[in-house]
Formats: sequence, structure tokens, C-alpha cells
Amino acid sequence: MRTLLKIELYKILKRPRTYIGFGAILLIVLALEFAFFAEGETLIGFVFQNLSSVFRLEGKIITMNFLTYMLLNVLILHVPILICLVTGDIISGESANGSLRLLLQRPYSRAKIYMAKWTAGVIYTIALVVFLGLVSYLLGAALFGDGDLIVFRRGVHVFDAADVQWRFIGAFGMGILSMMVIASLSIMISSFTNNSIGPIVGTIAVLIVLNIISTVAANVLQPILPYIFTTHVIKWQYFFDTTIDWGAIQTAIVVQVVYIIVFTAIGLINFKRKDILT
Amino acid sequence: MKLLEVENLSKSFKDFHAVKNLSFSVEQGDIYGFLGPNGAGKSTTLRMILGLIYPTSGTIRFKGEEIKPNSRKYLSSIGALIERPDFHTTLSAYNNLNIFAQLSKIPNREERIQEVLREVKLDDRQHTKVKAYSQGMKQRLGITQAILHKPDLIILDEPSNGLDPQGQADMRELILRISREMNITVIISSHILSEIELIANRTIIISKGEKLREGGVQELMEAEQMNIEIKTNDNEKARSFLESQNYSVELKPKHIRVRCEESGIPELNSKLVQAGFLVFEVKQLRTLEEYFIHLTA
Repeated sequence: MRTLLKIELYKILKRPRTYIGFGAILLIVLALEFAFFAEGETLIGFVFQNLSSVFRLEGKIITMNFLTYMLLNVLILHVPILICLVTGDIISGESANGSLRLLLQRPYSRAKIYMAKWTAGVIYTIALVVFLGLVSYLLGAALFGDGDLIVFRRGVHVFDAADVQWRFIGAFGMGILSMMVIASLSIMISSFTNNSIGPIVGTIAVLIVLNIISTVAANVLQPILPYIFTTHVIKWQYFFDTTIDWGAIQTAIVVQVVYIIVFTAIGLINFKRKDILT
Repeated sequence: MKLLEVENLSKSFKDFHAVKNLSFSVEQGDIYGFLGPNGAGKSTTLRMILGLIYPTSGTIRFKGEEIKPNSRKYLSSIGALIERPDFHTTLSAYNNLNIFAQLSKIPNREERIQEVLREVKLDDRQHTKVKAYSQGMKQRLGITQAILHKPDLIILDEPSNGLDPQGQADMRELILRISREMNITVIISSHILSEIELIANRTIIISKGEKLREGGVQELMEAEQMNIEIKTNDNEKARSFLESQNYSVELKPKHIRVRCEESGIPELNSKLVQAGFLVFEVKQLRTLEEYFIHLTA
């Protein structure tokens, strides 16, 4: 298994599209942070227009913590798309170009091969989210420096700079879990197809549809919302409530872990039974 | 010693029966030809042996041990090149082989990689990315990955596909060398019959998923009557004479064509000479190709 994992990671590292994800994240972070650096006061002014009659704000609003919090929002759709580019291709890409055939001719069980690919995909996913966190944080520190964090979500929450580190760790941890669901989904779809595009488009389509359902769900759909994984993709935000709803976080973790297990099991069973015809 | 035994192997894809009750065996040291027209079920059969496709029914034994659906260990003794040699094109030949060497847990990896690269004459291009390789180079690299782990059996599915005549001849020479020098049993599938005729010692002919014939190439050639072209000083009289001797004869513009078993050619020639005909040429027309077309038609 270690040999297989090492080889899968090596293959990911050697593929140009692997770096598209890191490049895109870097660009997103650069664009947002430089936009705030150049005209942050104007941008933030719109938000505070309505609040200025109620609150009097003193000190820095735009800090590295504020920017990192803002950038966590790319976990909802942008990062999943970047993850799909690599994980969606991890089986189907090799199936399409025939190299999967050469791999399956070696004396390794298909279960081991699938799990090595899944683990490599998850490692890539974690690396991408950690990269997002590090770049946001470091560039934010360089451009804006440390400071308190103001969050506008179900009201206004102000957190002391010393009180945000653990919240970010929790939020990024939650983000990683959500992205693991996406990775597991796209690897599962990847096991069903023999072309690279299908799983990528398929996963993005599922995400868009479920995100719409989660966001604008009609009353009739409300009962199923807690069981849709996209409902929980934004649960990292709960770490930025003054009083944290640990119950909701726990539910989100359980639901997402169940999804990871189910997607991985379906993909694994399919991969084990699949005839390799390409 | 039987290295591979296949018994009543079948594979269906929904209503399509790709392989039907196929049985054959490969002896150690054989170069075993797997002949059939496109769509005959050759690749499906070879993929079933490699565990890439699961059989609907039937058994496969390798070195006497039955291969179960989840058996993988036997694959350490088999190398294969199925259809195209599909490598990671963004990696060099060396890096591709290094992956397979690691997967096969080959001791002295570096040494072995260099050895096989030299064997197929790719050592000077080993650090070139595979996407820059010609078809012939890719095929040779495909053979390299198949023999890298010193298997007992290699399965080559249409290894000459896409090669020019010189490339095909080089490939044949390489396969023969591998078989002789490395003592590796070879199963080679092809629809290029001359390829099989030139290198295989035993062969199976399949069509529409079913076995038509199996045996030594020479045996197959000798098993049935073939056409013999004979040129004499008087072809018309020779035809009448041979017809009176109960031969089936056709008169052609410059020769006569006679149906005859290979073993009967000396007697036929002798009869003509004794009857006073001058025989200028006796030519066997039937190649394995003709036999194959006759069988699969």
C-alpha cells in the first residue's frame, strides 16, 4: 500500500494540472488581498454604511484575520472545482489513456489500488486547503498585519486577535472535511467512467444543484436539508459565532464522514467489479 | 509442463457473447499464437487471463493453480502488453519503468531497468518523455515493462499494431530473442497471420468467441488439403491426366491448380514425371493465412 501511495502521489506531482489548483488559489488570494490593500476602505465602507448609525468602529477592520475569513468562502465552490480537476481524473484519466490497464496487471488488489488513489486524492485536497490557509494568512500578515476579527453573520461578531487562532484551525479542519467529501464524490464518479471530463463535470453539476437546493430550499425540501452534504460545506462559519453551536458542528462532522464512507464504498465496490475494457 | 490452462471460458456483455466455452493450454516454452479476425474475442480472453475482465464462467489455471476473481499473486509471474502500450506520457521512459519496477518490488532496480532498456535498444532515449516517442519506440517500451520483472509468461496483444514492415520484423526478432534467451513463454495475439506463422510454434484460431482449431502451426498447415500450383510443359494434358487419377484440378492460364495434402505432393510430382510430363514448378499456395480465411469465412 505504501508503494502504491508513493507512486500515486508521484503521478499527481508530475501532472501539470496539479499545479493549476495551487496557481488558481494563489491568484484568488492575490486578487482579493491586493484589492483590499488598494481600496479596502471603500469596499468595506459599503458594508458599514448601514451600521454607522448604530456602531462606532475604531481601529483596523481589514486585518489578516478578516481577509483569511473572507477567503474561506472560496471553499463553497471555487476550491471544490479545483479539487475535481485532479481527483475526478485520478481513475478515469488513467482509464482513458490506458495506463490503468498496466497498473492493474501488477499483483495488487483492486481495493488497495483504489484506496491508494483515494488517499493520494485526499492528501492533495488537504494540501490545497492548507495552501489556501497559509497563503491567505501570510500575505494578509504582510499586507495588513494582525488585529481583531469582525464577522458579519447573523449579526456582528467581534473577536479578539488572540481568540481567532483556534477558530481558524477549527474552520480549516471543517473545510478539509467538506473538501474530502467532494474528493470522495469525484473519485467515486471517476471509477464509473472512462473519460477525464465526465467526473469533473459530474461532480461540479452535483455541487451546483445541491448548493442551489441547500441555499434556496423550498419548505417541502427542508426536512432533507440536514442530510445533504452541501448544507454542511458552510458549517466552518459556525466557528465564528460568539456562542458556538457544537451540536450543529458535531452533526455536520457525522453527516460528512458518512458521505465520505458511502462515496468511497460505492466507488470501491464498483472499481473491484469493473471490467477494464479500455 | 502446462503453464496455462483455460477451460470452458465464457464472457458475455449483456446479450453479446464475446467468448464462448473456450479451452486451450499453453506449454512452458511455447510461443503460442492467438489468431482471429477483429472482434473474435482475443483481447477479451487475454484480459480475462490478466484479471482485467471477469469471466462469466469457466476456469483459468496458471502453473496448476486456479485463478480466482480476486487472485493477484500470479500476476507477479506474468508480463503483458495489451493492445496499446499506454504509459504516462508526461514521464520519461525511465520514470515509467521505475514506477513498474517499484510496483513489482524488483531488487537492483536501477540495474534491471538499464538491462531491459539496452535489450530493446532504448537506453540512449530513456530520459525522453514518452509523448515524444514514435509508435515503434512505444511498442518496444511496452515489451520492456512486460519483461521487467522477469516473468514466466508474457502476453502480447497485437504487438505489431501500427508498426511499419521493418518495425514488425524487428518486433518479431525481439519476441523470438526474449523467448529463447530469457526462456519466457509467450502468448501473442494477432490478426496479422504472417506474424504468427513466422514465430509461433503452436496456435489457436478463434472466431466469434469460439475455438476453431488448436495445435502446432505445422500440424494445422498439414491437416487439410491445400492448393498446389504446377507448371508443366503441357498444362491441359496434365489436367486431364490428374483428373483421371481422381485429383481435383483447375486449369489456369499458365499453370494448373491441384487440391492436395502437403504429404501427397511428392507422389503427385512423381506421377506427373512418370507420365512423361516436364514439371517446371510446384508451388504450395496455402499459407496459414489462406487456411485462416477458409476457417473463419
